[in-house]
Amino acid sequence: MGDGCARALDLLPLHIQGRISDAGEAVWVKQHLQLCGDCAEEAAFLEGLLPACPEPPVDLVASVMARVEAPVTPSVHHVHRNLPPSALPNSAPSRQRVRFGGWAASVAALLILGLGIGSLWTGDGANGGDLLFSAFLEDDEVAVDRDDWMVAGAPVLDALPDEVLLALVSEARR
Amino acid sequence: MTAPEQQPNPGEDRPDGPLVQRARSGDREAMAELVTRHQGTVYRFLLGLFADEDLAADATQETFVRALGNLAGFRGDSSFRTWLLAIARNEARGALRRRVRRRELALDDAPPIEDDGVGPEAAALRSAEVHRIREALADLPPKQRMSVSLRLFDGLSFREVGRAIDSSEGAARVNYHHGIRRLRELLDEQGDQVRRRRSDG
Ligand SMILES: [Zn+2]
Repeated sequence: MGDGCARALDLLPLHIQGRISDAGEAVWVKQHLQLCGDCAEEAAFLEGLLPACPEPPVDLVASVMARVEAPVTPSVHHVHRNLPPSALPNSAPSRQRVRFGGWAASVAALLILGLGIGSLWTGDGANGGDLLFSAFLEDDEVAVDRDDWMVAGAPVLDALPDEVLLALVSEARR
Repeated sequence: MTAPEQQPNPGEDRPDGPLVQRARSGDREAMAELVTRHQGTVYRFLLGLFADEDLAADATQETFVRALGNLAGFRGDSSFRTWLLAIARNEARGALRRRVRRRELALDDAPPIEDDGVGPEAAALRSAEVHRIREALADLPPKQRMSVSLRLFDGLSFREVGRAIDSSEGAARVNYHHGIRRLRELLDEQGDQVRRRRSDG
């Protein structure tokens, strides 16, 4: 691996899609690929991955715009990509409270593991913990779904690392 | 070792500012255009997070509904795309709660939800190779998967990838490179298995 390889490897994903906007840099990568078999091979490998680029459902824009147009409804309907709209159930699922059972206990354990004591109780003091648990465990949109959360920054929820979130998702799937 | 970041936001060749301005004043065409531009990135980011197409599609829709309803909250400190990805991260939490709710329903009386995310025709249309790559992608650790996806498919800078995955620019770069290396290994392994099966049978 030559000296320029690290730089080239960083840039290859942009190069193969013609996304390097700096003309000098684009030329540099091309020249490097002519001289360096390793990087050229890597570029070919990356190009082979591009057809697998996942795409969102085709009706996503329409679905979003339909909901932006309509008065805001709190419930969310599931995106059924393979069904016509007429095949969708008419009534929203009835709202049920999440019971504090085995799953919820695991959540609590994960939260404590993932967050550590410090990050949970910074900021708002002891209220942080309550807010967090109410946000996750109660079937109550108020705690996290207020529209001002983005402006306010939702500090408590933002403190959740992705690892914890992912652990929660896989836990919920089981 | 680390190459300097040459472009703050590669791939963002068309500035979003004018569209956001129009969307703020209620211009629906501008809103739809913003969704069209960024739906792929948001979807792939969420797919990288969940490795579940239905969850990702739902959360993508939620992300845009929220974003368009809260355009006043976008103050232009970051790019519009970075702002969207932050909302998507939050929506991922909402997706979790809905998932739990749906699961409770399924346990009671609701019909089971088709969860494969791929209809038979759609699956048939996917070439074997594409399927193979997606399987390998799904096997990556989430941060590697998100980094590979955002860098390779969407051309985000490592700095922007870092923000999206709640890591540093350096960590995003490392996750990308490790992810690519792991992807290669997984695809090679798959290839070996196929070859072995063929020679056995
Ligand atoms: Zn090289």
